[in-house]
Amino acid sequence: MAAEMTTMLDRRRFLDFSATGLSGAALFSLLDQKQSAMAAAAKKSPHPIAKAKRAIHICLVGGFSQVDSFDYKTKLEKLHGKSLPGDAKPDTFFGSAGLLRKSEWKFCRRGESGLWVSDLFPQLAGVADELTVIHSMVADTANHMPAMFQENSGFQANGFPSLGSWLSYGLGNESELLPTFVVLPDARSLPNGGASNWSSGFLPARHQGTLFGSGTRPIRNLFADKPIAEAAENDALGLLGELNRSHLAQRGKNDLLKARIKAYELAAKMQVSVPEAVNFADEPASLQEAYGIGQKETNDCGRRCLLARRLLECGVRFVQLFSGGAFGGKPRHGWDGHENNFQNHQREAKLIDQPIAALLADLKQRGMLNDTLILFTSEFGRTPFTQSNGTLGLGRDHNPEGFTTWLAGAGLKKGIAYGETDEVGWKAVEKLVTWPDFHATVLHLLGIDHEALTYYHNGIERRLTNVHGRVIKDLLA
Amino acid sequence: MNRVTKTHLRVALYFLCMITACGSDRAAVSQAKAQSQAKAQSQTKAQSQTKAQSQTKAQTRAFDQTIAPILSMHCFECHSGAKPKGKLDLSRRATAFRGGESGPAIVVGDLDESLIWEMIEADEMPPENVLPEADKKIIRAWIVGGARWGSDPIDPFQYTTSRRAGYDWWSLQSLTKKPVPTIDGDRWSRNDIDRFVLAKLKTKSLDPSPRADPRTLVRRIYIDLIGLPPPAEIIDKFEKAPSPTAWEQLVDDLLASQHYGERWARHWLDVVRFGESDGYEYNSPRMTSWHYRDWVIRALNDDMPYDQFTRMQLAGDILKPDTIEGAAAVGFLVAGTHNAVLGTSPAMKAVVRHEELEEIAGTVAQTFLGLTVNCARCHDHKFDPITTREYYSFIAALDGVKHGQKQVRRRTEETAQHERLVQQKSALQKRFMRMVTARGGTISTTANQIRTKTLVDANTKGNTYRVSLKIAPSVWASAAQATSERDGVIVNILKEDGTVLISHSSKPGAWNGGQNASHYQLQTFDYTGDGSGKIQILLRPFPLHTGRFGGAVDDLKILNVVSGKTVFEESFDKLQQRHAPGSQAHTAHQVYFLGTSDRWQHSGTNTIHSVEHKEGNFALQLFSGNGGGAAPKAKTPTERKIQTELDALNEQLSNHPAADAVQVYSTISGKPGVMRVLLRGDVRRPSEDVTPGGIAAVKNVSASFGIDKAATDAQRRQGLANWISHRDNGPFHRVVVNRVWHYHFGQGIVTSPSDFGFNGARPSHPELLDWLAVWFHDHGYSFKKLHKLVVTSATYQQSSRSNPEASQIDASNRFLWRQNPRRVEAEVLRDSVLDIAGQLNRKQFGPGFQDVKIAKVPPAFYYLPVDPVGNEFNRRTIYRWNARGQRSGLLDTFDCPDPSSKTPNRLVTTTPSQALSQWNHTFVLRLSEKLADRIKMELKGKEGGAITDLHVNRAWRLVLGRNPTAGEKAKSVRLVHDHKLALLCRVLLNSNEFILVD
Repeated sequence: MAAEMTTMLDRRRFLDFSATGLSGAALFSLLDQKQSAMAAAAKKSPHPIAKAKRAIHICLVGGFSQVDSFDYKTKLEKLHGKSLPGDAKPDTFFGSAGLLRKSEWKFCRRGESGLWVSDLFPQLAGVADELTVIHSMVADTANHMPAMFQENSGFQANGFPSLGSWLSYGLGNESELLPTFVVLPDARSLPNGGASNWSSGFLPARHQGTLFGSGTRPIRNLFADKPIAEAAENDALGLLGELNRSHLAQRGKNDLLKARIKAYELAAKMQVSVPEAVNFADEPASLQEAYGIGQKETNDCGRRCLLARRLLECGVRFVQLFSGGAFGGKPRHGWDGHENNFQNHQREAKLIDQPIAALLADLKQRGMLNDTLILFTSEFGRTPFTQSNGTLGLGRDHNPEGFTTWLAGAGLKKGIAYGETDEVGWKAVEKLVTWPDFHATVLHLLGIDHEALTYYHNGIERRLTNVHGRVIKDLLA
Repeated sequence: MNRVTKTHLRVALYFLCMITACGSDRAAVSQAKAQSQAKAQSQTKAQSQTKAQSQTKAQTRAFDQTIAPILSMHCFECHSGAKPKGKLDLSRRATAFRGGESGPAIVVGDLDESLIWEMIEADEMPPENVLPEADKKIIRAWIVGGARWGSDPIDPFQYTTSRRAGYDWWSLQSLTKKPVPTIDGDRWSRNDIDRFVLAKLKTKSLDPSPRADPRTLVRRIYIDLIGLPPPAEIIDKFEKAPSPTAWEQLVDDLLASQHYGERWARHWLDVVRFGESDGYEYNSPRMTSWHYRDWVIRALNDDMPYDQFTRMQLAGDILKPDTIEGAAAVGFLVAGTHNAVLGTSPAMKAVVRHEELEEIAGTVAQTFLGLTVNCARCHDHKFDPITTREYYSFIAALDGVKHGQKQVRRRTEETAQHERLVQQKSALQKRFMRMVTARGGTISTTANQIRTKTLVDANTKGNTYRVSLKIAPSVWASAAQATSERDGVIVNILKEDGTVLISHSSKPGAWNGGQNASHYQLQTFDYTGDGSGKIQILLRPFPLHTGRFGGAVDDLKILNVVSGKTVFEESFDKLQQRHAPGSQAHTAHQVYFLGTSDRWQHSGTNTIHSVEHKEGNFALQLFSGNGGGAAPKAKTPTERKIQTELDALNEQLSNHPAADAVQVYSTISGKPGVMRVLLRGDVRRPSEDVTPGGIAAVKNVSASFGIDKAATDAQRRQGLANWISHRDNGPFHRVVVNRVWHYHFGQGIVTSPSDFGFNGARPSHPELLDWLAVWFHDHGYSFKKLHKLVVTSATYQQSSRSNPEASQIDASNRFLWRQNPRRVEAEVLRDSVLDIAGQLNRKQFGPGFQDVKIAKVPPAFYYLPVDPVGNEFNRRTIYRWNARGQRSGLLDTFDCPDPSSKTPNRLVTTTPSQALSQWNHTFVLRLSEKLADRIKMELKGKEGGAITDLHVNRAWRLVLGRNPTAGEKAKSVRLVHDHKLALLCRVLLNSNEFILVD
C-alpha cells in the first residue's frame, strides 16, 4: 500500500522497474510495463522471436465434438450402433456410456491442404487451408468448470491468471487508449464463473480482461450515466489537475501521484478512442454482411468478430470471444450436447461458422494474419459413444481424453493436422497435447518463453504452464 | 522450476572444493534415522571435537548441501524406498556404492566405471527431465574427487543450500529473546522498536526522518486503525497540543472504537480468502457465511488473544460445541472455494476432494505459519523442508472438514423445556401417524408416492425380516426448515392385495448435515411375515407439520434375519453432493419433474416433486407439496384424544419458545478415514497410510499429535490447533507480528507475509521481528497492545516525505528511514466517501448488503454489479456481500481482490479505468451531490454574499480535513460559481490528496 509503487514490489521487480527509469509522458506506459516480466526474463533466457503480436481466442463453451467437426473417423461410421471395441470401460462424467454414434455431418477433404472438415462448419471449411489443427488435445478433467479454468489459466481452480492476463503482463500495452485484454461474451449469457474466467488472479488488477458490452459505451464508467455539460466537465478536470499537480509539487518524487495524474489524462482520451473502436460506420456494408451482421443467427457473433478485428487494429493485444455462455439454460447456451448433440451443434455452429470464417478471410485480406494468432478451443471434446445406458442415444458426454482445437495465423504451418485419436476418435493416442503444451506454444508464437514468464505468489514463482509445458515445434512454420 | 543460476553453481562448486579438499578417508556416518520423518539435528556439538572430526563434519555438510539435494530431487522418486527401481537405492551410502541389478553405480574416482555417471552423461537418467549441466558437473567432480558421502541415509533437508531451505531455515527456529540495541546519544527513540530500527539505519548510514506534522499524523492513525478519515475538529485539536499523551489518548480512543475491528477484520479476511460463494461452475451463493466475518470483527474488537483466535478458527466447533461462536469461527476453514460438481466415478470425486483439501491445508499453513505446505502434494517441497508424506499427514489433520451449512441453536433453560415438549409431541405424532396409516387414511397425494414395481419374496410366515433404510433431509424442504419442524417418510410393507402388513414412519435427523443430502441417517425396523404372498414397498411423505417435505432415501434393504441373506436391495448412492437451492443433482438415475425434464427441478416451495421409479434403481425424492398434503384429520376416538393432547402440547410450546435456530455456513465435521499418501498426487496411486500430524521441520514442537491414523475429526483438529498455536512454535509468532507490521507500514519486515519459506523474502530486521514475536507472546497475544506499541514508536510517526540521499541508499525504504506514503484501499475509499457525505450507515453485523443482481442460469449463479441506492447499502464495505467472480466497477479498479485468491499483500495499481470509475461511477456522483446537500444544510441560515466561500471552506474541511489556501479557495469558488457545489465535491473526492495517506 505504499504510495511509491516501487515499495510494493519485491526487490527483483523493483530493480527491473527502476532500471527502466521514468520520464514525462512515457510514465504511464512504463508503470504499466514495469512489472512486465519480459525485461527480467530476457536476462535469464533468450525469448523466441515473436511471430504474432496479438491474438483472438475463440472459446467454445461446453465442449464441442471433435468427431462431428474436424476429427474424421471412418471406423466410427462402420461401428455405428456398436459397443466400443475392446474392453475399455469409459469413466464418463455422467456415468453412462452408450453405443458408438457416427457423425450426422458429412466429412470432406477441403482446399489444397485436404484437411478434413465436416459440414457442421461449411464456411470454415472454405478457409481450411489457413488452419493448424490439433487432434490430440487432452485435458485433466471431465468437469466443466475446472476444465475451462484449465483451458484459460492452466489450473483447475478459481484464482489463477488467465492466458490473456499473462499476455498483458508479459507484453504490456500496445495502446494506452484501450485495455490490453478485452472479453467479448456471448450475448445470451456469460460463461459460468463470470469474471473468474478472465481474472488476473494474483497479477495486478490491470491485467484482468475488460468486459466489452454492446452499444456505444461498452466499458462501464466510460462516461457518467447522466450527461454532464462539457464546460462543467472540462472545468472540473482542469481544477483536479491543478490541485493534483500542486499536491505533487509539495511532495517531491512520488510515482503513484504522477501515475494518477496521467491516468486521468488517458481516461479522457479513452472517452474518444473506445466509442471510435465500436463504431462500424466506416466498415463497408458488404463486409459487415460477410460477417453475418444483420442476420438473426449470426448478428451477435458477427459483430463481435468484426469488433475483435477493430480492437486489434487499435492496439488491443488479446481478445477473448466466447461462443456459448452458461452450461445450463434451455436450450443450452453452448456446446454441451448431452441431450441431442446433433440439434445442439447444428444450432451453435450456425451462430459462429460464417462470422469466424469471415474474420479469417478479412484478417488475411488485410495482411493481419501475418502477425495475428487465432485460437479456437473448447474445454474438452465429446465422446464418440452416446450418453445412454448401453443403448444408442442422441447425446454425447464430456471427453477430456482426446479432442480438437485449432490455431491460425502467424508463425504456424498452415493446413496441417497434428496428433491423432484412436480409431473411433475417443482417446488421443499420438502426439498428445496438454493445455500447458498448448499454452507454451501460444506464448512461444507471441515471443515468450513460457518458463521465463513468472510472477511470485505465496511461495512460488508462478507460471501459466505451472511446471509443465513444451512448445509443439511441429506446429511452427 | 529449475532455478539454476550462476550463483547457485558458484556456491555449489565452492562446497565441492570443500569436499575434495577436506575429505578424510572415512566417510562420515551420521546416526541413521527414519528417512521420511527425519528431524533436524542439533547443530551444537560437544566442544571436545578433534580436528579430524570437525573436518568430517564440514565434509558431511558439504555433501549434504550439494550432492544430496541433486540425488534426492532427481533420483529418489525411483531409486529409494522399499522397492527401488533396478534394485538401486541411492539414498544410502552402502546401497548406492553397491549398485543395483546392473552393477556398481559409483566407483570412487572412476567415471568410466561409474554407471550412475554413464547414465547421467548420456541423458538417459533421469528419464524425463535430464540433469541440468551445472548439476552434471557437480556429480562428475564429486566422483572424480573421491565420492565421499555425508549423512547416511541422505536427508536432503538437513541443511539450507543455495537452492533450498533445510531444517536450519531461519523462520522455523524457536524464538529467542533478542537484546535491545543501545545507541550512544540516541535522542530519537521513543520505545524499543525504535532502537532496533535506528541501529539498523546507522549501519546503512541512514538517519530517521523527523516526526510528521500533527495533521498528517491524525489522518494516518485514523485511516490505519479504523479506516475512516478524521473529522477536521479532531485534527485541529491535536494540532494545538500534539503531545505524546494526546497521541496515546487518540490511539486508545481509536482502538476502543467499533470501527477498529471492522478495519482490521478486512485485512484478515484478505489473508484467509473469505468469499461468499462457492466458485467453480455453480458458484452458489453462501448466505450465512457472514457469521465468520462478524466473528472476526468481534474477536478483534474484544481483543481476543491471538492463540485463542487461532485455535477457534481451527477447532471452534469442538472447543465450543453447539454455539454460534464456535460454528462461526471455523467458517475460516471453509471460506474458500468449493466445487459442488463432482462427476460420477469415485476417482473424479477423489480428485475434487483432494483439490479442496489442498486449498484448505494451503490456507491453514500459509495463514498461521507462512509455510506453503500445499507445494508438497505431488513431490517433496522443492524449496522448504516439507516431505510429501508430511503433506498427507497435514491434510489428514483436516480431512474431517467439509463445506456446508449447519444449524446452531441459541440454547437456554427456556429452550430446554421446549425441546422436551417437542420430544413428547413427536412421540404422540408418531403414534398418530401409525394409526392413520393402519386404517389406510390419506396422508399425502398419490402423485409423489413411490411403489416398487416388482414384488419381493420376503414374506415367509413367521420369518423375521429387517428393513433398513438410509434417509436424509432434503434441501428443498425449505418450509419445513423455516418452521424448524421436520416431517418424515413412511415406509409401508404392502401385501399382494395392497393392504398394509406393517407401516413405519421415519423422521429424518436434525438439519445438522448442512442441508447435505449425503448426511444420511440409518433407520431400521423389523416385521414378521404372514405368508400371504409377496410384498411390495410403498414410500410416502409424512406431512405432519407443514404439508411440505422433501426427503431423500439413499438405499433400502430387506434382510432375512433367519438366513442372514439380503432379499431386497436398492440404492441411490449417487446422490452424494450438496445442492444449493435450485441446483441440479446429477444422478445416474432418471429423475423426472412432472415428467418433462431429466433433471431435478426446484420451483419454490409450492411444487410437487416426484420421481419415477425405474427398474433397478431406487432413486427417489419425496415431496408432499401443497396439493392435498395437509395433515390428516383425526377420525377415531383414540386419534381424537391424541389430537387433543397434541393441541395442549402446542399450547404449551407457544409459551416455551424454541432456541433460535441459526444457519451458519461452517465446517461440517465429518468422519475422516485413514489418509494415504498419493504418489505424484495421483488419486489412482494410493500408497502408505499416514497419521495426522504437523511438519517436523518446525523446531521444538513435536509434529506428532499423539493420535492414531483413524482418529476422529475432533482429535485431529484439536491436535492441529495445539501444534500450530504452541508457545514454542516460532513461525506461528513471527508470521502474525509481521502481518501487523505490514499493515502499519505498508510492507512487512518480511515482504511476503504468507510465505516465510525459501521463496519468500528475507526479513529486513530479523532481530526486531523476533523481539516483537516474544513481546507479543509475553503480552498475552494482545493485538491492541501490539498496535499501541507500534504506533507510539518514533519509527511509525516519522514523516513520509522523500529524501533524495536516503533514496539513493534505500529506495524501497526497507530500513524505514521514513514512513511509507500509502494509497487508501478500495474499502477505505468507499467508506470515507460515505462518511464525509454524512451517509455512512454504521449498522454492524448481520447479513451483508448486496451490490449485485443475482442472476441465474440453472444451476449456476451470476453476480452482476449494480449500484443500489438506499441507507441499507451505505454500510461499511466489510459488510458487502462478497461473492467470487463478481466485479465491482469502483472497488475493483482500486485493487480490491477477488476472494478466490488469498491476498496477504494487496497490490496498488493505477490505471485509466481507475480514473474513469472514480470520476464517473454513479456512486461517486451521487455522493458528491449528497455531500453538497450536507454542506448546504449545515450552513443554512448563513445566507449572504459570502455563502459560496463558506460552502467551499466546509467542503475542503470535510473531504481533506483542512481549509483551502487562498489560491485553492479562489479556484474552488470560481468552479462553484460557474457550475455547482456538487462539482467541487466530485473534484475533491477524486483528488490525490484524498486518496493518499502521507
